[in-house]
Amino acid sequence: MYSLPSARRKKKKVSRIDLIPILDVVFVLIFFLLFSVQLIHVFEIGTDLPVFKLEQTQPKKDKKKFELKIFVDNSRIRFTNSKNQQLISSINVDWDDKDFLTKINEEVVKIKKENPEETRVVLTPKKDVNYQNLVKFMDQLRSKKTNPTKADKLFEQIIFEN
Amino acid sequence: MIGKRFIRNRKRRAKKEMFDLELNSLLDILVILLVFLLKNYSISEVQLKINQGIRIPDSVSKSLIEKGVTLQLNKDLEVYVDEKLITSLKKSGVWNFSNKVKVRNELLSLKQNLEKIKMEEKGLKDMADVVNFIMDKDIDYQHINQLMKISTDAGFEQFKFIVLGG
Repeated sequence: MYSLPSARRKKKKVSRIDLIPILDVVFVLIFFLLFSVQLIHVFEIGTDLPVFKLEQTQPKKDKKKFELKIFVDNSRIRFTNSKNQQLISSINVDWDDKDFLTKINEEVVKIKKENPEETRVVLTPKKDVNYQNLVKFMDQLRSKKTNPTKADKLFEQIIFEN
Repeated sequence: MIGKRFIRNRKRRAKKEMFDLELNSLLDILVILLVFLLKNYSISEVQLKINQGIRIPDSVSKSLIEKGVTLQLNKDLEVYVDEKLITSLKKSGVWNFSNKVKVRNELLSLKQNLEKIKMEEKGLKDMADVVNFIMDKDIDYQHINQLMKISTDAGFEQFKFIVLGG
Protein backbone atom coordinates (compact mmCIF):
# COMPACT_ATOMS: atom_id res chain seq x y z
CA MET A 1 0.00 0.00 0.00
CA TYR A 2 1.24 3.40 -0.94
CA SER A 3 0.27 6.29 1.25
CA LEU A 4 -1.07 9.42 -0.29
CA PRO A 5 1.57 12.02 -1.28
CA SER A 6 -0.12 14.71 0.79
CA ALA A 7 0.06 12.56 3.93
CA ARG A 8 3.79 12.03 3.38
CA ARG A 9 4.39 15.77 3.25
CA LYS A 10 2.58 16.30 6.52
CA LYS A 11 4.85 13.88 8.32
CA LYS A 12 7.99 15.68 7.16
CA LYS A 13 6.79 19.14 8.21
CA VAL A 14 9.05 20.65 10.88
CA SER A 15 7.11 22.41 13.62
CA ARG A 16 8.33 25.98 14.24
CA ILE A 17 7.42 28.46 16.95
CA ASP A 18 5.72 31.55 15.64
CA LEU A 19 8.10 34.32 16.71
CA ILE A 20 6.15 37.25 15.34
CA PRO A 21 3.93 37.89 18.42
CA ILE A 22 7.01 37.67 20.68
CA LEU A 23 8.78 40.11 18.41
CA ASP A 24 5.82 42.51 18.62
CA VAL A 25 5.91 42.46 22.42
CA VAL A 26 9.70 42.93 22.50
CA PHE A 27 9.42 45.91 20.13
CA VAL A 28 6.76 47.58 22.29
CA LEU A 29 8.87 46.99 25.40
CA ILE A 30 11.97 48.42 23.74
CA PHE A 31 10.15 51.59 22.68
CA PHE A 32 8.73 52.04 26.16
CA LEU A 33 12.15 51.57 27.76
CA LEU A 34 13.93 53.77 25.22
CA PHE A 35 11.63 56.65 26.09
CA SER A 36 11.99 56.26 29.84
CA VAL A 37 15.63 55.21 30.15
CA GLN A 38 18.03 57.37 32.12
CA LEU A 39 21.53 56.93 30.85
CA ILE A 40 22.87 59.22 33.57
CA HIS A 41 22.14 57.87 37.02
CA VAL A 42 21.22 60.80 39.21
CA PHE A 43 20.64 60.47 42.95
CA GLU A 44 20.35 62.78 45.95
CA ILE A 45 21.89 63.47 49.33
CA GLY A 46 19.26 64.83 51.67
CA THR A 47 19.75 67.37 54.43
CA ASP A 48 17.35 68.91 56.90
CA LEU A 49 16.85 72.51 57.88
CA PRO A 50 20.02 74.34 58.90
CA VAL A 51 20.68 74.49 62.65
CA PHE A 52 19.61 78.14 63.10
CA LYS A 53 16.16 77.37 61.70
CA LEU A 54 15.84 74.03 63.54
CA GLU A 55 16.42 75.78 66.85
CA GLN A 56 13.61 78.23 66.04
CA THR A 57 11.13 75.52 65.06
CA GLN A 58 12.06 72.74 67.50
CA PRO A 59 12.94 73.61 71.08
CA LYS A 60 16.19 72.05 72.31
CA LYS A 61 15.95 68.77 74.16
CA ASP A 62 19.15 68.48 76.15
CA LYS A 63 18.71 64.88 77.24
CA LYS A 64 21.40 63.62 74.91
CA LYS A 65 25.00 63.56 76.03
CA PHE A 66 26.45 63.34 72.59
CA GLU A 67 26.03 65.23 69.34
CA LEU A 68 28.62 64.94 66.60
CA LYS A 69 29.70 68.25 65.16
CA ILE A 70 32.33 68.42 62.45
CA PHE A 71 34.30 71.49 61.45
CA VAL A 72 35.49 71.20 57.86
CA ASP A 73 38.10 73.40 56.22
CA ASN A 74 40.74 72.87 53.58
CA SER A 75 43.53 72.16 56.05
CA ARG A 76 41.95 70.22 58.91
CA ILE A 77 38.80 68.35 59.89
CA ARG A 78 37.82 68.41 63.54
CA PHE A 79 35.36 65.96 65.08
CA THR A 80 33.78 67.32 68.23
CA ASN A 81 31.05 66.55 70.70
CA SER A 82 28.96 69.71 70.71
CA LYS A 83 27.33 68.81 74.04
CA ASN A 84 30.53 69.17 76.04
CA GLN A 85 32.59 71.09 73.46
CA GLN A 86 35.18 68.32 73.53
CA LEU A 87 37.47 67.58 70.61
CA ILE A 88 37.21 63.91 69.65
CA SER A 89 39.83 63.86 66.92
CA SER A 90 41.34 65.88 64.15
CA ILE A 91 42.60 64.85 60.71
CA ASN A 92 44.79 66.75 58.25
CA VAL A 93 43.11 67.34 54.89
CA ASP A 94 44.24 66.06 51.52
CA TRP A 95 41.16 65.82 49.33
CA ASP A 96 42.95 64.04 46.48
CA ASP A 97 44.35 61.29 48.67
CA LYS A 98 42.18 58.16 48.77
CA ASP A 99 43.68 57.18 52.11
CA PHE A 100 42.46 60.44 53.56
CA LEU A 101 38.82 59.54 52.81
CA THR A 102 39.38 56.04 54.21
CA LYS A 103 40.81 57.60 57.35
CA ILE A 104 37.73 59.81 57.68
CA ASN A 105 35.44 56.82 57.22
CA GLU A 106 37.31 54.78 59.82
CA GLU A 107 37.08 57.65 62.30
CA VAL A 108 33.33 58.00 61.70
CA VAL A 109 32.83 54.23 62.10
CA LYS A 110 34.73 54.42 65.40
CA ILE A 111 32.54 57.29 66.65
CA LYS A 112 29.39 55.46 65.54
CA LYS A 113 30.43 52.33 67.46
CA GLU A 114 30.69 54.39 70.63
CA ASN A 115 27.34 56.09 69.94
CA PRO A 116 25.21 53.57 68.04
CA GLU A 117 21.92 55.38 68.65
CA GLU A 118 23.10 58.64 67.15
CA THR A 119 22.16 59.28 63.50
CA ARG A 120 22.53 63.05 63.34
CA VAL A 121 25.64 65.01 62.46
CA VAL A 122 26.09 68.76 62.36
CA LEU A 123 28.44 70.04 59.66
CA THR A 124 30.24 73.36 59.83
CA PRO A 125 32.18 73.81 56.60
CA LYS A 126 34.32 76.86 55.86
CA LYS A 127 33.14 79.10 53.01
CA ASP A 128 35.93 78.07 50.62
CA VAL A 129 35.35 74.32 50.83
CA ASN A 130 34.73 72.90 47.38
CA TYR A 131 31.30 71.35 46.74
CA GLN A 132 32.68 68.11 45.24
CA ASN A 133 34.93 67.65 48.26
CA LEU A 134 32.02 68.28 50.57
CA VAL A 135 29.99 65.59 48.78
CA LYS A 136 32.91 63.16 49.07
CA PHE A 137 33.04 63.94 52.78
CA MET A 138 29.28 63.49 53.24
CA ASP A 139 29.54 60.09 51.54
CA GLN A 140 32.01 58.99 54.22
CA LEU A 141 29.64 60.15 56.96
CA ARG A 142 26.61 58.33 55.59
CA SER A 143 27.79 54.76 55.20
CA LYS A 144 30.63 52.39 55.93
CA LYS A 145 33.09 52.30 53.06
CA THR A 146 34.20 48.67 53.17
CA ASN A 147 31.48 46.07 52.54
CA PRO A 148 28.55 48.32 53.49
CA THR A 149 25.22 46.70 54.36
CA LYS A 150 21.95 48.25 55.50
CA ALA A 151 23.06 47.86 59.08
CA ASP A 152 26.20 49.85 58.35
CA LYS A 153 24.44 53.18 58.02
CA LEU A 154 26.40 55.76 59.94
CA PHE A 155 25.17 59.34 60.28
CA GLU A 156 22.34 59.63 57.76
CA GLN A 157 20.88 62.90 59.05
CA ILE A 158 23.16 65.70 57.95
CA ILE A 159 22.51 69.24 59.14
CA PHE A 160 24.46 72.34 58.19
CA GLU A 161 25.18 74.81 60.91
CA ASN A 162 26.32 78.06 59.32
CA MET B 1 -5.21 14.23 -18.75
CA ILE B 2 -5.83 14.29 -15.01
CA GLY B 3 -2.25 13.24 -14.25
CA LYS B 4 -0.79 16.03 -16.40
CA ARG B 5 -2.85 18.56 -14.56
CA PHE B 6 -1.64 17.23 -11.28
CA ILE B 7 2.02 17.62 -12.19
CA ARG B 8 1.44 21.14 -13.46
CA ASN B 9 -0.30 22.09 -10.22
CA ARG B 10 2.57 20.77 -8.18
CA LYS B 11 4.98 23.09 -9.97
CA ARG B 12 2.70 26.00 -9.29
CA ARG B 13 2.57 25.09 -5.63
CA ALA B 14 6.34 25.10 -5.48
CA LYS B 15 6.44 28.57 -6.96
CA LYS B 16 3.87 29.87 -4.47
CA GLU B 17 5.85 28.66 -1.41
CA MET B 18 6.18 31.57 1.03
CA PHE B 19 9.49 33.29 1.66
CA ASP B 20 10.38 32.53 5.29
CA LEU B 21 12.33 35.27 7.08
CA GLU B 22 14.90 34.12 9.63
CA LEU B 23 13.86 35.95 12.81
CA ASN B 24 16.01 34.20 15.38
CA SER B 25 19.05 36.43 14.97
CA LEU B 26 16.88 39.56 15.05
CA LEU B 27 15.24 38.34 18.22
CA ASP B 28 18.65 37.71 19.78
CA ILE B 29 19.67 41.34 19.17
CA LEU B 30 16.40 42.65 20.52
CA VAL B 31 16.67 40.57 23.67
CA ILE B 32 20.20 41.90 24.30
CA LEU B 33 18.91 45.45 23.79
CA LEU B 34 16.02 44.76 26.12
CA VAL B 35 18.31 43.48 28.87
CA PHE B 36 20.57 46.54 28.49
CA LEU B 37 17.60 48.93 28.70
CA LEU B 38 16.08 47.11 31.66
CA LYS B 39 19.41 47.35 33.48
CA ASN B 40 19.46 51.11 32.97
CA TYR B 41 15.82 51.60 33.85
CA SER B 42 15.30 53.87 36.81
CA ILE B 43 12.36 53.49 39.18
CA SER B 44 12.41 57.21 39.99
CA GLU B 45 9.53 59.01 38.36
CA VAL B 46 11.23 62.40 38.66
CA GLN B 47 12.87 63.76 35.54
CA LEU B 48 15.36 66.53 36.19
CA LYS B 49 16.55 68.85 33.47
CA ILE B 50 20.11 69.81 34.25
CA ASN B 51 21.26 73.01 32.55
CA GLN B 52 24.15 72.81 30.13
CA GLY B 53 27.49 73.53 31.68
CA ILE B 54 26.62 72.18 35.10
CA ARG B 55 28.77 69.24 36.13
CA ILE B 56 27.18 67.73 39.20
CA PRO B 57 29.43 66.06 41.81
CA ASP B 58 30.04 62.32 41.93
CA SER B 59 28.79 60.35 44.89
CA VAL B 60 28.08 56.84 46.13
CA SER B 61 24.56 57.79 47.20
CA LYS B 62 21.71 55.58 45.97
CA SER B 63 18.79 57.64 47.30
CA LEU B 64 16.16 58.31 44.66
CA ILE B 65 15.23 61.86 43.76
CA GLU B 66 12.05 63.40 45.10
CA LYS B 67 9.82 65.90 43.37
CA GLY B 68 10.44 69.49 44.31
CA VAL B 69 11.56 72.92 43.22
CA THR B 70 14.92 72.89 41.43
CA LEU B 71 17.55 75.47 42.18
CA GLN B 72 20.50 75.44 39.79
CA LEU B 73 23.83 77.20 40.07
CA ASN B 74 26.40 76.86 37.32
CA LYS B 75 30.13 77.60 37.28
CA ASP B 76 29.45 81.15 36.03
CA LEU B 77 27.37 81.66 39.17
CA GLU B 78 24.07 82.03 37.35
CA VAL B 79 21.09 81.09 39.50
CA TYR B 80 18.13 79.28 37.93
CA VAL B 81 14.90 78.46 39.69
CA ASP B 82 12.97 75.73 37.85
CA GLU B 83 15.04 76.38 34.69
CA LYS B 84 14.31 80.13 34.74
CA LEU B 85 17.34 82.42 35.01
CA ILE B 86 16.85 84.61 38.05
CA THR B 87 20.16 86.32 38.65
CA SER B 88 23.87 86.16 37.96
CA LEU B 89 26.74 86.72 40.36
CA LYS B 90 29.28 86.66 37.56
CA LYS B 91 30.31 90.32 37.89
CA SER B 92 30.42 90.70 41.64
CA GLY B 93 31.09 87.08 42.63
CA VAL B 94 29.33 87.71 45.93
CA TRP B 95 25.76 87.69 47.15
CA ASN B 96 24.34 91.18 47.53
CA PHE B 97 20.94 92.19 48.82
CA SER B 98 19.39 92.50 45.34
CA ASN B 99 20.47 88.99 44.29
CA LYS B 100 19.15 87.46 47.48
CA VAL B 101 15.78 89.20 47.16
CA LYS B 102 15.34 88.13 43.53
CA VAL B 103 15.91 84.45 44.35
CA ARG B 104 13.87 84.64 47.52
CA ASN B 105 10.87 86.22 45.78
CA GLU B 106 10.90 83.62 43.03
CA LEU B 107 11.08 80.79 45.56
CA LEU B 108 8.39 82.41 47.66
CA SER B 109 5.96 82.65 44.75
CA LEU B 110 6.65 79.02 43.82
CA LYS B 111 6.14 77.96 47.42
CA GLN B 112 2.80 79.80 47.57
CA ASN B 113 1.65 78.13 44.34
CA LEU B 114 2.69 74.71 45.63
CA GLU B 115 0.91 75.33 48.94
CA LYS B 116 -2.29 76.14 47.03
CA ILE B 117 -2.02 72.92 45.03
CA LYS B 118 -1.10 71.04 48.21
CA MET B 119 -4.45 72.03 49.72
CA GLU B 120 -6.22 70.42 46.77
CA GLU B 121 -3.99 67.38 46.24
CA LYS B 122 -2.63 65.42 49.17
CA GLY B 123 0.22 63.84 47.18
CA LEU B 124 2.02 67.13 46.85
CA LYS B 125 2.60 67.44 50.59
CA ASP B 126 6.35 66.77 50.43
CA MET B 127 6.92 68.44 47.10
CA ALA B 128 5.98 71.80 48.61
CA ASP B 129 8.86 71.52 51.10
CA VAL B 130 11.63 70.13 48.90
CA VAL B 131 14.34 72.03 47.07
CA ASN B 132 16.61 70.06 44.76
CA PHE B 133 20.03 71.73 44.51
CA ILE B 134 21.71 71.16 41.16
CA MET B 135 25.07 72.82 41.47
CA ASP B 136 28.38 72.67 39.67
CA LYS B 137 30.95 70.59 41.52
CA ASP B 138 33.56 73.36 41.36
CA ILE B 139 31.62 75.98 43.31
CA ASP B 140 32.42 76.86 46.91
CA TYR B 141 30.32 76.15 49.98
CA GLN B 142 29.57 79.86 50.54
CA HIS B 143 27.11 79.78 47.61
CA ILE B 144 25.42 76.62 48.86
CA ASN B 145 25.14 78.20 52.26
CA GLN B 146 23.50 81.33 50.84
CA LEU B 147 21.05 79.33 48.74
CA MET B 148 20.10 77.21 51.75
CA LYS B 149 19.48 80.31 53.83
CA ILE B 150 17.35 81.89 51.10
CA SER B 151 15.35 78.67 50.62
CA THR B 152 14.78 78.44 54.37
CA ASP B 153 13.52 82.03 54.39
CA ALA B 154 11.11 81.14 51.59
CA GLY B 155 9.69 78.35 53.76
CA PHE B 156 11.32 75.23 52.32
CA GLU B 157 12.37 72.57 54.81
CA GLN B 158 14.17 69.81 52.95
CA PHE B 159 17.25 70.27 50.81
CA LYS B 160 18.45 67.62 48.40
CA PHE B 161 21.86 67.77 46.74
CA ILE B 162 21.61 66.19 43.31
CA VAL B 163 24.63 64.00 42.60
CA LEU B 164 25.88 61.62 39.96
CA GLY B 165 25.67 58.00 41.06
CA GLY B 166 28.65 55.69 40.78
